[in-house]
Amino acid sequence: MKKLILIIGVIIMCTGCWNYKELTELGIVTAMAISKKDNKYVIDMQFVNIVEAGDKGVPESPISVMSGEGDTIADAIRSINMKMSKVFFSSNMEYMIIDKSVADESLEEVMDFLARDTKLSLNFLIVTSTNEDPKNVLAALSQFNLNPASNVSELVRRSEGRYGASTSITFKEFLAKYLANGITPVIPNVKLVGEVLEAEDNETLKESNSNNYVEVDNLVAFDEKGEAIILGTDESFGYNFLNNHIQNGAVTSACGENYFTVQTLKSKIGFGELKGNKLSVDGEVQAEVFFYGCENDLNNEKTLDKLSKITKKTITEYIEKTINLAKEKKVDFVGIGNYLYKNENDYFDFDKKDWNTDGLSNIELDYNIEVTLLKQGNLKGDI
Amino acid sequence: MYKITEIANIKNMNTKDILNELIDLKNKMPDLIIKDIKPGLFKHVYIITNEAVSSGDKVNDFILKHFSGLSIVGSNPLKNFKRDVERNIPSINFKNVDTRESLLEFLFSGFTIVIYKNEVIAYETRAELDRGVTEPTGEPVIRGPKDSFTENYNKNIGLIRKRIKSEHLCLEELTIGTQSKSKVGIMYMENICEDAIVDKLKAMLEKINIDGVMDVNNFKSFINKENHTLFPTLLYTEKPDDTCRFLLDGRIAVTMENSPSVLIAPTFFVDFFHSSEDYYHKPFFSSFLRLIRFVAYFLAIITPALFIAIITYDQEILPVSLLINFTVQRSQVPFPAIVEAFVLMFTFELLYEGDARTPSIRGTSLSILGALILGDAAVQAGIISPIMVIVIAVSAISSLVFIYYDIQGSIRFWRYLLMILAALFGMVGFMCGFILLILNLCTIKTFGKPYLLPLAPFLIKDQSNALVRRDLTKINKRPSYLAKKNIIKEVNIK
Amino acid sequence: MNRYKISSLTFSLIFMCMLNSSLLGIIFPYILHESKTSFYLSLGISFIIGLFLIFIYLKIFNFLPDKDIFEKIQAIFPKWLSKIISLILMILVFFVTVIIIWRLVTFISSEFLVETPNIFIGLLIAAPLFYAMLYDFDVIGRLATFCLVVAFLLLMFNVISLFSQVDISNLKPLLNFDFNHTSKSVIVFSFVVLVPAFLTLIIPKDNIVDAHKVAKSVLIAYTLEIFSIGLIAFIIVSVLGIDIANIYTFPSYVVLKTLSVLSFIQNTENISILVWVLLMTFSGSFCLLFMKAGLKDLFNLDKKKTQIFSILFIFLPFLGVVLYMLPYEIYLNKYKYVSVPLILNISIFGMFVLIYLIGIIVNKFKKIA
Repeated sequence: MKKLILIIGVIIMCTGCWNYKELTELGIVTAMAISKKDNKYVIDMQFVNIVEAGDKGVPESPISVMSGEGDTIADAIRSINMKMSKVFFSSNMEYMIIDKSVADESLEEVMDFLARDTKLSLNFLIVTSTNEDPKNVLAALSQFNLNPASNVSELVRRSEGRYGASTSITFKEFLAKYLANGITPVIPNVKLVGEVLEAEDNETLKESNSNNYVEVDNLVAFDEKGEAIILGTDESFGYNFLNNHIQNGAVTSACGENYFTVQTLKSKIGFGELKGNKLSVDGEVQAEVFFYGCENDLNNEKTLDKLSKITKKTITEYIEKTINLAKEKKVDFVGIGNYLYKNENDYFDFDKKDWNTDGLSNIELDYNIEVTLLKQGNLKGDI
Repeated sequence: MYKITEIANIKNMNTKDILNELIDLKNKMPDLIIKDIKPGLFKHVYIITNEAVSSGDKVNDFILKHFSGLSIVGSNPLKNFKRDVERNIPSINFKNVDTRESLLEFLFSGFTIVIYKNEVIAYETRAELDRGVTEPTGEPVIRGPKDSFTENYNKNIGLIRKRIKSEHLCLEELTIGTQSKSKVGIMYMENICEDAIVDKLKAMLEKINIDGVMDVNNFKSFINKENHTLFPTLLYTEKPDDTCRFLLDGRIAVTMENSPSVLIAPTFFVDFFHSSEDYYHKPFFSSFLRLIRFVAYFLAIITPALFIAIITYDQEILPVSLLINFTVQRSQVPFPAIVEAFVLMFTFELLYEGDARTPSIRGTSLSILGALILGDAAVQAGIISPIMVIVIAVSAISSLVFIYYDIQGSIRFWRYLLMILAALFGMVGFMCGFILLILNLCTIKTFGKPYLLPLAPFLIKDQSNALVRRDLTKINKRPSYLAKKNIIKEVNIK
Repeated sequence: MNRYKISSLTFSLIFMCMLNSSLLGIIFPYILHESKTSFYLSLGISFIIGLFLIFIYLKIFNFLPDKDIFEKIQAIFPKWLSKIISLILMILVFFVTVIIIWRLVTFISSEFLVETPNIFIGLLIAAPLFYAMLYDFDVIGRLATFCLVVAFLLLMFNVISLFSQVDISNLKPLLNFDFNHTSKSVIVFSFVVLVPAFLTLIIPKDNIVDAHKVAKSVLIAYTLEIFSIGLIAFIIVSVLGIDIANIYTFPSYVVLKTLSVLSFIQNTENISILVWVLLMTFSGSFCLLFMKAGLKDLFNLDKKKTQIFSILFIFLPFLGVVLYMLPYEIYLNKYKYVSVPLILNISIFGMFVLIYLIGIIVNKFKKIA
């Protein structure tokens, strides 16, 4: 029996190890883009260049970008394979650019491709770039991080909580929203500032005042035909308030000719009860005065009341604008339909009817948002 | 040396014949001393001794002084001498010698032979040939008693009896070895120990049929043979306080003459992670040390395998920055990771073995060589990557924390097996190897009891002194799987 | 004949391990597919039905306490009939084992070793099975203790690190109750989960040191197991959402892909999921031991011969069937992966009940006679 085990062991040893991959064989993919050109899929991949940062200071370009083209996604990947001596390793991908050209029916194929791959994680971000060729975004370098992909993903993640006009969405969330009833995913839009540079060029890294970098823009949702619905700053704010993505967002409102800014400390807004056709939007926002440019004395209680009322109006306007945009474009990126599906199951038959065309426009909204100003910063009143 | 020509009664022999034979023998044996003392006219007392095995002081003090200093009056100096010894010096033995054979045996085991006419007496003047009680070398201690067993059988038993002054501490003696005829003692507490285990052990020892045993470690091959495993099932210790602790648990200690260590049976997996020092520290600290030892044991086995599985199969576990870092390091190494790991591991084994066998004077040069050549030069030369050095070092250091040397064998075997499986099948291979390891542990039985006691089968009552140690006042029961009588210790400290 | 002795704690641990045998590849995908977000309802109903099944199990367990299930058959039926019944039982268990291991191997080949030929994965899994088969039930009882400790640690690690991602709104709509779907999932759940654990009937009651505690400890083990299944299902649905959970073959694996500890340890799914490999290997080896004990009772073999016989009669065809079935994953993927084990488990359960009922009747007749 021992001999038998030995023989089997030797056979296994001699026939080799199939999934064995040395680290040096891997081409580490940090970001990817899928787009369509002339009915052909184009896939761009950003690879990390394995070069040792020697004592010469800045190394050669830390990344390289490869593109492939084909009738299907698999063909496109195969065509990159022809150009590369390494095995794709995409488990640690930071983000993925889904171009608007694949946002129509071909989105299903893209989702299938991404979800089927066992090695792919579910945590990478999904972004889009409406104005730019995705390849140029992938090729842009960053001064802050030698790995530009992690720079972009950090950028998107940070901008959500701090600024409030953007949001991050991971592939898991995107897929969930894509599959769920009555909701369409919203993706952050990135754009390239400055002239287009080749990835091999590392001029960016040598200058302190670079004019070539990636910036997070507003949010974008796609309708069924792949048309981009661009959410402006106000709508983006409204979307983020509704989804409670905002941690420390700044809300600026006017008081007469001047204006003041409050910073939110805690924001909790969501849908409430459904009465007939009327869905309430309830919420509570706690904020502190961040900047005060108005004339009234801040020490007065009434002034604070007034300020919170104005802020309430501003936030309500943001949300109203967002929902109106959704109704106008007939794309429910806010998730009203999903909320109704989950909580008021009898209201609409999601299996038989199309929510975007039949249900969304009929729903009326009722806003009850309360704003309380808790702090006023360092100062007692105003200067 | 000397030949036994015939077996004859000395009384039937002329003493001259014996003396002539001994004088002949002296030509070939210069350490033989033959003295002729004349206490009176025509009286010859011959004193014969071997200065290598007998103590010169004793011979001088008790024998030569007697015959030369005291004027021996009377016709029978030997009889007077005997009487004097009996009356005044109780610590000296004397024996009447009947045969030529026993004369030689006494002579070479350190006795002094006194011959007067046809009467022969042997006086014990044995020299202390073994070393005294020293500090344990194999199991160094920081806190606690620092004596250790020696090669002297009686001294060893004395060291144990000194600690347990109980009438229940039994000692049974056997003789093992057809040629060496070594004395073996089985010690146990008859009021605690399970009798069946004593009988089983005795039967196992009695069955041994071999020409010579040099050390208790020889018994390894004869006890618990049915287990196919590299895990140690018997514990060897050179510390008397450890031995007494085990005896009080209800275990059996086997001692042997000329063996500086004592064999403890039955012992279980957790016992190899305990040390007598655990009981001299505070419970929290000693529990921490025990957990460290358990973690170290598994780290020593799994670290290289886990690392190989991660960098060759499941790279996605590494964050990107680390991945790039490792890739840069590995890109200069021409070998596959598994070969690299084996090369480094093999070099470490060489160093380890070399260090263990090198006298401490030459040890420093070895460590400089190892640290410089392996740590730095090999990395510089691009033969191995720095990260692999770290991984192997973690594994190697973890394997060094154990007190009992026997556990190293199991670490080596499973470490290499897991490394091969990890290189073939990645994480799944590693897991399968790990299941095999655990299964192997589960199959072992020592004296009919599962080796993993009290962890599996899980005994809640015995957990106070297994993976961790609770306060001594809380451990008021002996291990339920060992002690069958007097289970409750009488430590009611209030 | 059976000289080993185990405690009731070890027995209940074996029972608990066997409950895990088909969770990963069969129960989770099916129950989430059928009952969607009202999975907890079917879980609750199956829990109650399961209690009833365990009641029957304990009845059989207490019947003829000095004999294991094969000896019970021999005591009840005439000799030729008992051999046939034992053989049928063994064949059924054989296929249950094949399905468990087949599910494990397909899991490994689809998620871990994608390029490795299935035959080698089969051989790799066979090594621990083969090793465990050489020993008796007390050895596997100790293995169960270890398996559950590791399973518990990994489960706690996973649950705690996934807890930040739990989104309660994913559990809604709370009640999409549908009698057809719920009853299906209840039946599948109660039988496919519980019946493999009934194979512990191979351990006679008299071999347990503290046999009076068995009923209590088995019930505790069952309750804990259902609780942890509920916890895992809750985590899957609330983290992934029911839509994603339904498109994947192994949702309990995919949910671990979202895991991130301290925001820098990511993608540790391949380590965390090893707990299923462990538990399924355990179940496989227990089933094999069941058949080995059957062979021993059936042909009255001594120890050495049992080893050789069991290896020849069970292990080799078992391996063959596993390796042969591997390429057919696609055909069995959608529904057969549930219906085949369901039929097998129900028939095993039916056989147990029949043996018990006939046994009672025979005993009464004997008393009258």
